[in-house]
Amino acid sequence: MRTETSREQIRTVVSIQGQLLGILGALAMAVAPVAVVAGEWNALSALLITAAIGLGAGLTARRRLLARRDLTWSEGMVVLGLAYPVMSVLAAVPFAMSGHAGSWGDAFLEAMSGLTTTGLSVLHDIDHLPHAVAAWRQSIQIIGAITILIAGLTVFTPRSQKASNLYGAGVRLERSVPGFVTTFRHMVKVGVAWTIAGGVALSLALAVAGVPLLRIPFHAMALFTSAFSTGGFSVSSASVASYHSWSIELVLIVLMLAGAIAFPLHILLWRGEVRRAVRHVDTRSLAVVFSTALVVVLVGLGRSGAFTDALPLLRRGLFQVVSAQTTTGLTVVEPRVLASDWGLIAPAGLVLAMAIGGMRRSTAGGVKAERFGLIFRGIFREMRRVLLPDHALVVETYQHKGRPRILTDAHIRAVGTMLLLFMTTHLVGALVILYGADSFDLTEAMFESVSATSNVGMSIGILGPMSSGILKTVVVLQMWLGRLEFMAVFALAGFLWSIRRLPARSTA
Amino acid sequence: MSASTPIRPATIARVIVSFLLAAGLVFAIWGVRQNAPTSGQDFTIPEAADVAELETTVERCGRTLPDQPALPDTDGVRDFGRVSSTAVVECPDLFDQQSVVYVGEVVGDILRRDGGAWVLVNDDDYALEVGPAGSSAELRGANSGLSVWLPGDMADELGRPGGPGWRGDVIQLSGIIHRVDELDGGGLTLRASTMHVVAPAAAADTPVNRAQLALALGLVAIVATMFSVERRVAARR
Repeated sequence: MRTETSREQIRTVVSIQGQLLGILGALAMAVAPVAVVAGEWNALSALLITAAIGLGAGLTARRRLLARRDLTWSEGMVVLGLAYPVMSVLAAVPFAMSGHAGSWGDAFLEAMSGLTTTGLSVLHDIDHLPHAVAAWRQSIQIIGAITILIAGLTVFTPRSQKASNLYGAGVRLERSVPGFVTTFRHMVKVGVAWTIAGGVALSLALAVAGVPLLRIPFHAMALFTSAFSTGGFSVSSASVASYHSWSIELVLIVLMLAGAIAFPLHILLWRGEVRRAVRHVDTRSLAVVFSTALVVVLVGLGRSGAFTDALPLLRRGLFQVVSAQTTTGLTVVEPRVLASDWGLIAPAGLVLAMAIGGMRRSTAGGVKAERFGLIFRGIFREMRRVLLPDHALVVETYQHKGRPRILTDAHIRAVGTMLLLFMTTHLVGALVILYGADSFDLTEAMFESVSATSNVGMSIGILGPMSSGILKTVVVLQMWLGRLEFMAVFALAGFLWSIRRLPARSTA
Repeated sequence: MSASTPIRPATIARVIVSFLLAAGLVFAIWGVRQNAPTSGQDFTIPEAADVAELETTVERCGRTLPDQPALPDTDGVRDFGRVSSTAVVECPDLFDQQSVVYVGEVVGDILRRDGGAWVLVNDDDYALEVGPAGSSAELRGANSGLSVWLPGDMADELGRPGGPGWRGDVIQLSGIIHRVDELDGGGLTLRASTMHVVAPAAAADTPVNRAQLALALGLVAIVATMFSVERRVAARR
């Protein structure tokens, strides 16, 4: 593949990174009043540093580098590939300066975890984290979620499955997604509606749970951002278990599911086209995988001997499966209890749910239910081919955007490649985790590896502030690769390679 | 991608300089943090508090598999003495329905309802030794604790729970561990029967980091100047 990179392309890519930093800077300014109200002056200065660097970078990008042309699809992939590490460096500043991060690398991991909506944490002493830093930690999940939603509607269009054309396509974004502006407006509408409904429901549930009135807005904001962005950070080390409330868990289940539903489906539901939404291959696949995982977890919990009554078993099992499937990572169980008291089958069910994840074009991670569904349809097609006479024409279709679509070999190949990439990352990650934390076994390492790659953040207690550097490094890579579904990282690698290959001569 | 203008050495140089600047800023920020002043407060529990000694320490129990209970003899209530949250979490089956003593800091919010209160009680090093992470230079890993049910008006004895800038009340509890507590909808809890405060809540002084403040003000001034210049240039156009 011949790839060439021009000065304008570098300007474009760098310019957008600068503007993304500008957005983070603006967010830091928005969070700064929390530090003022709480009287947290060190957190305030950390947020001001973040804001100044971000806004300075954004201004420079706009003034000096702004490209007066459209972004091509391949440039979009490169921008996305770079966006997460670049934004993480800036988002790490409040963590690094909070006194709760053991190193700059830990602060970077925390930021990457928030921006990729993973929710794994390596900060020390979360329970004493300043309010402003906690608010920052929750807020960056929203930025990460919006980034991936926009990516889902632009560079992650079906066209992007043509990995071989990454640098040859030159497809302009506005052409590949003609309805983008309209879709974005709908996204904002749907997002605002969920924010109001979720905020009110959570506030009521928190009041019923006995949370002091003045503390309700803070908890409601924290829980909403975590659940709807499928991020999973919590302001308490005990996560949702610290509330001991079924009503909070119920509201969170709804919000997590809403976060894991593709935004185009939200729009269908908004318009009242429930039937079309239900018939979509994404919906059906998600329902099948979720039901399977739930049955596995409930059977596993029943066999573990921990639960003697059905109701607690159902309540804990359901919440954990929804959290795993939507790749949120909020938990009502102490992480080590998953290993020490849930047996082997229930955690395996959670691994299944985490690995498959939610829908495409949502904030959820994982392989995605749609791809899993297509693989199974492909298997059925092959089985029919074997069983039917040689001259029979076997055509498999699936519902997409309300219309039947023929399942082609190209579909299967693309989906299979993605599945293979995820599985390889799970396995390699687990092996490295075992190397970095040898007191744990393979099943526990696999749980942590899948959780990181699928951007879930549910932990079985391996990753923590005192984990080894190699373990933390591999988790950062897994979160990055998983969030971008590999392709954007490959595109970035190709971009960097093409810079290296070009002769350094002046022809301006 | 098709090339319109090949890359120039000057562009590469600019990118390298930008990276070096960013790296320099990162080192400066981390350096400022490393030299942050600490309060030097002593958060160890005073000996006069008469805290029970830790009696039961368990590193790992291994998984509880069907027909293989972690502890064969769990009939009746055993008194384990003082336990750590790590031991209970690692071996819920071992401690289920057993009597324990537990010492830790109340953190988060006190959730008063149903004729009692739920609290989270941490027994990590931040609770019992070094105080909140932000105010001391010592980092001792993640938090660890247990969910505790305080019946009746027991929670009224509590002062301020731990949180940002505060080490909450350190309490000593005795009670029964519930591996799957119905009251909590299936969580691992300690239902307390007695409680006394061994160390009252204390503010954790967090001195203002002057170097960090100076860096912040300097950067804000630079960016404000940039914005001001930008506005003037735009106005001239």
